Amino acid sequence: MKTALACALCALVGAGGAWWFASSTGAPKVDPPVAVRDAPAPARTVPTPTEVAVLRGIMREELAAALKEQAPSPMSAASASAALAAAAASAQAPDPDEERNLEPSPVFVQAQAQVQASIAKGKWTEQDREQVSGELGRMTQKERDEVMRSVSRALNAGMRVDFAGPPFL
Amino acid sequence: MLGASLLATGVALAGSSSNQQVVVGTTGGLLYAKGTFRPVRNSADSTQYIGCSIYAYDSGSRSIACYATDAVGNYRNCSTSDPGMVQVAASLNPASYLYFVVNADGSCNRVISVNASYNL
Repeated sequence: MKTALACALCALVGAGGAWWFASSTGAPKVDPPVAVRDAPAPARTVPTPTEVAVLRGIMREELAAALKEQAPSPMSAASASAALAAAAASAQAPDPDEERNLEPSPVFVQAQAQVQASIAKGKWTEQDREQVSGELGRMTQKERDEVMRSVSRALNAGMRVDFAGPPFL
Repeated sequence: MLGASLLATGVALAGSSSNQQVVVGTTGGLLYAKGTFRPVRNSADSTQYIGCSIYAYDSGSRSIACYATDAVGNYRNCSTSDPGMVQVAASLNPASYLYFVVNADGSCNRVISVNASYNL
């Protein structure tokens, strides 16, 4: 009888430990071992004070070991703090390219005006190509893409090309 | 000996050969252009051409513009900074066949190159 009782209580301790381990290591959460509470007859037997004391000792040891394992080392705490600080700084500091994109750059506005004027006159001349190409290098990537797409759209829609070769230099 | 050598050279040039001139059209509602560099360059007309230009900037970004004109002067082009398509443009060489499709906004939908002996 005592052996059966000991086994049942060991199972309880083991399942509790597994649940503790799963929740402390980030493993998929599992429900606490409530099912063990519904275990058959042996679990309902009242343990003797000695057995309770022994089992409490075992659980204390396991809990102490688990807590020791879970407690962050000073090094990892420092690393975590550094990572958090870096993440916060990164979130606050805008990306230079994005910052510039908050307002179109003057060179982008100028290039788009040039492109619109070319569309209005219905032709893309060598002079247009040279002028706009010279401005592309001073824009952000997004602005450059937009200007190039604008010209491509217009050329594909029938704007005349006054030269042979690429639309930009 | 010289005759045999010339004969051998002649045989070496007798492989399969592409004669893909610049063609522009639509596919799936999108404009496209295609052509093989060698026959386009050697075509009888002085109008058609096809190719891509690569633009690199000190910010580290790169863009391409692909363009083509067929024998009767129809012009097609697209541009993109997509790294994959930039890489395809960088692979073009005298043995290339180039095919590009244009999105409605003027960007490149896809850029395809075939580098093969029959294109030489």
